Amino acid sequence: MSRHLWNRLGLCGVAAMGLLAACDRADVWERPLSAGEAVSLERVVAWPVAGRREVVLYAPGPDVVDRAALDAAPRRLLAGPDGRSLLALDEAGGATLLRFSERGSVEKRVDYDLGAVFTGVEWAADGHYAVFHHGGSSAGDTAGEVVRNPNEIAILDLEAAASGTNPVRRTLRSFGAGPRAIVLSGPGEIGGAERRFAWALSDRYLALFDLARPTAAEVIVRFTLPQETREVVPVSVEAVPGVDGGAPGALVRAAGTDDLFLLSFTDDAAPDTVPKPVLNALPGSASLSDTLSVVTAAGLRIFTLAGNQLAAVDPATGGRKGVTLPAYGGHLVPFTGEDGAPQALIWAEGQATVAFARLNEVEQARGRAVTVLTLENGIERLVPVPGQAVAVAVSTARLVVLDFRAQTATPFDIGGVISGYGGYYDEYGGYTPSAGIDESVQVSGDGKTVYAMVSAESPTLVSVDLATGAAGAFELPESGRLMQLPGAGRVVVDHLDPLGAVTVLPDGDLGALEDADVETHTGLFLSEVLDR
Amino acid sequence: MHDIDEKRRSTRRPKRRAGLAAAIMGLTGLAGLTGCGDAGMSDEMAGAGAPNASADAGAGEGSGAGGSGGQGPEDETESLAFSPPAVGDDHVWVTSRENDLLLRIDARSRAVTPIDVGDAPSAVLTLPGVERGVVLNRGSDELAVVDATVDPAKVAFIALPRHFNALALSPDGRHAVVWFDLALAEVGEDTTALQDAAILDVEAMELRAISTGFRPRSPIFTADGETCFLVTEDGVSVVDLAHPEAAPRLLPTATDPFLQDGREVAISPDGAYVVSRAGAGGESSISVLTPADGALVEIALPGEPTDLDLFAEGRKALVMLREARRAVIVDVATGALDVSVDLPAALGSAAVAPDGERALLYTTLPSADLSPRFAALDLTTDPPALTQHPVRKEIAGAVIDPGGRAAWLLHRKAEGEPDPTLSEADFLSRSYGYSLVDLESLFVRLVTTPAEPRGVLFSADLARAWVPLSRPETGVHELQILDLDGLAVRSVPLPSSPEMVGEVPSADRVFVTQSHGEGRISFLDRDSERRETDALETLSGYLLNGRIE
Repeated sequence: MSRHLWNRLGLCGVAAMGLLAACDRADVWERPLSAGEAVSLERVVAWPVAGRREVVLYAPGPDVVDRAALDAAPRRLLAGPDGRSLLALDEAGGATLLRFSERGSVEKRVDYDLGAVFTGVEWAADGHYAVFHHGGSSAGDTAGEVVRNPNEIAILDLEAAASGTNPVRRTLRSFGAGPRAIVLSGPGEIGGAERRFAWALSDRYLALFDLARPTAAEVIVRFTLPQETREVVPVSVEAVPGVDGGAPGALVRAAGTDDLFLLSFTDDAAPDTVPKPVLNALPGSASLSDTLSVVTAAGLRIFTLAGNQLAAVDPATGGRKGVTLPAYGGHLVPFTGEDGAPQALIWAEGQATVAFARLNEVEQARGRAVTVLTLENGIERLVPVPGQAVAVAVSTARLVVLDFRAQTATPFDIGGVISGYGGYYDEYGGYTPSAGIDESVQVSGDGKTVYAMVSAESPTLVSVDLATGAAGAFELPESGRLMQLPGAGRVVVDHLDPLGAVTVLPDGDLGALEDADVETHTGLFLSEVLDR
Repeated sequence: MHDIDEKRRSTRRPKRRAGLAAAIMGLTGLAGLTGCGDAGMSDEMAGAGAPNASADAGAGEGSGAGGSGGQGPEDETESLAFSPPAVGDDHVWVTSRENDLLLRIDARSRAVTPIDVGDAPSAVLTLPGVERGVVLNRGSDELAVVDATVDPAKVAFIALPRHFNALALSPDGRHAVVWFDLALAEVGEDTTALQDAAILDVEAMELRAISTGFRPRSPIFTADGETCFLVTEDGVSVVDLAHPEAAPRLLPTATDPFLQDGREVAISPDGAYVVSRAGAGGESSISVLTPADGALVEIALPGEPTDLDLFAEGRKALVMLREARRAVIVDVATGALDVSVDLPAALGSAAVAPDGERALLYTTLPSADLSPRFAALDLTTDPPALTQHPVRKEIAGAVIDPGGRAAWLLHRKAEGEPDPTLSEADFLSRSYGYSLVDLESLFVRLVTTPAEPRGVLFSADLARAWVPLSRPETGVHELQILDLDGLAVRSVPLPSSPEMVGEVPSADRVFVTQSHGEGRISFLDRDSERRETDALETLSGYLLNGRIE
């Protein structure tokens, strides 16, 4: 297979070079394309090509390359949560929304003026809103602007047309710094009014604002008293389900304290204002690694994981009951057991032991609520399978399919090294996965197939059918970045070529593929060549 | 709420909670006034919500009850009233000194509503049963009168003439009294107002500054709310609240001016009589002051009094003469010794039921010769019938519930851990604990506890009581719920050391404040039948809610 493909690549390359040599547009070579990182949607792969001020769109289904011209060089692309929208942010502070048809063609385009070049953007899970901010940038990092307001944000209603009030640009109240991150909550109802909360995390406080009321004054929540000098920095916000018809709340984890902060709302908030939450400091733990809010048989519980301690915190009483685990746990993955009861998988990078905790029983049965499964190798990464209580554990040259309900572990050995594999343990025993491994193992959107990029004698894409256990492999011309286009029934490998090169494979078992089933395209960014 | 063993805590209460911003003070109605078992008002009760209810005979100075024979004074722990918290209608009111805020905590939803009240609010008291109260702003030397019956709450400020640190409110809520309590003083604070007080007419919003005797203690109000008594080291300052133009009168409570200081003082509910005894001993008598004409009469007794309690109308006093082994009942109006009861043992303390039908006699002094006991005195018979009853541990204090049905005895703990392998006596002596006594049958139920009992609060409906327990070194903190009908006891674990217990009758809830850097309060349904661990609802960090804006 590989020889045929290589032959194709070689011929294409020679042809391309010949055409280019004959091209009378010398600036093709003089101006770098500067293509950025691709994003994949349901049916389209998109690249920002800064050198051409455009977004290159490739739809493998109809095998069409399209381009969306921008007024300024694209900085960043974001794939919409629905898989059919794309936001292109440019260097002039513009944001272009592209919506795609079933065939992968652009069916709608809206250009918005954000008014500033923002470094951070959060897109709501339902795609309705996006919030732009300067979070993550530091003092002096002004993205080329002479002056920058770190507390400036832009709230964009992506279901509305661009106008003077969309996006809404505003400045959050500040107490010396700007937000480091913004977290969006899903829609919820408080006092009969729909709320779309956004949480801006800053040092020692957070600001709560409502995307549905973008001009309403934000609420500031602080985590220390005025006389306190310690730094309590909110680091994450997690949604907490409402109980007994009550409004959903939020759980804030913070550095500099062992406490968890539960923010809940009463129903008496005025509909046109941002409601003030009630803060309840719950007992967390030092070295907290993960939390999980679950409605158990006993009511709402906040489960905390710190080292080898799993604890259940009752937010009503403030009571905390702990279980000692047989191994260190870093993450909690919730799932529903066969009996419908809430459970969680507990795992940690570098650890070969995973635990299954029956969450309804933790407070009463304590250690007896936990069962343990030990694999042969430590887990590098865990890839959940959507819609199932299953995940793929990536270990040394091995993929292990974990069935949470059956508590089984089915290994698939890899005759090579999973791309990007090679993490390391530090002197303190902490494990750090290697860079790049995050995308080398993926599960298809329908939850049927696991794909892994493997470095064997040559770059190879491996597939495992989760239902049958059938495994297959296909050699690739080059290594690359794996992307899935479920709407197009394709898997695409971006070879990270400066001129744009991809290999397109059909979804499913790779072992059944023939060479003719696989296509490789190069020079995707070279519009002049293809135009000719 | 009766905070037993106030002597050990008097220096801790204002200072021990380093970093704790809230101070909760106020009334909870019946439990605050009558729970200590004395129908008459004694200086020991510290009246309506004093911030640091003084022991008898001086504010926490430990002079205690006098006594001859070299055995030392009795610990007057039965009358050490813990300042009850501030409860409006259905909210608990707490001050957040660091935030310059008053916080109202909804007893049902635990929602917190902050109200700006001025600089460094340190004390708050509420009018009974309504969401209105008075706040002392220690930083700006002013009172803030808060009306939270409207939304947003209205706050009116009254500047004070001097720097004060203590606040009291008359039972009808009509008058607020502020003074300086040296026991509550902080380093660097203005401590010069040692003979001053101010009285605010809350309705008319008129303030009146007065001079008092040296170091006034928590004021005592007459039942009709028209007179306020401030016990001082120079006598008692009598303030006519109904006639603000009338100057206060300082009246001596002792015929010997050198025995004026450190007296245990009891005042009849109508204010007709002020009865006192020497706190440090040296007198075989009690003094009766008639404030109306200033007449002071000394009533000789057959021994030195070690405890003094007034009966319901305040016309009779039960006086314990420990060394003489007698209890006498004195008619304060006539000075006659109506009754003299010989005691079978040296019992020096007493607690009188509010209805005056029973009294519990006991001693807090350890004795190798006297096994622990109490004596129940039936005052309905003539002569009064005395019945001794053993208890299993030495008594440190006693309280009779407002209904007069049961008594709560705090027991002393010996050094060492309660090792069950030791003898029963040693095991019990080393245990914390208290006893419940059915005053009808004299059945005694000993309750040993894993931590130190911090006092008792009787419910307004007299059906139950609550005892907070705390032992910081072991991390054991509980609220015990006592069923006064069957004397059953059950426990609810608390997240941290309890500080104060109170009732919110309109919400049918009980609350417990606890030590926490940012404030912690737990609520419990008053008659919850749910599992204890499920019943508690806790709000931690309520002070931080004052910083949500």
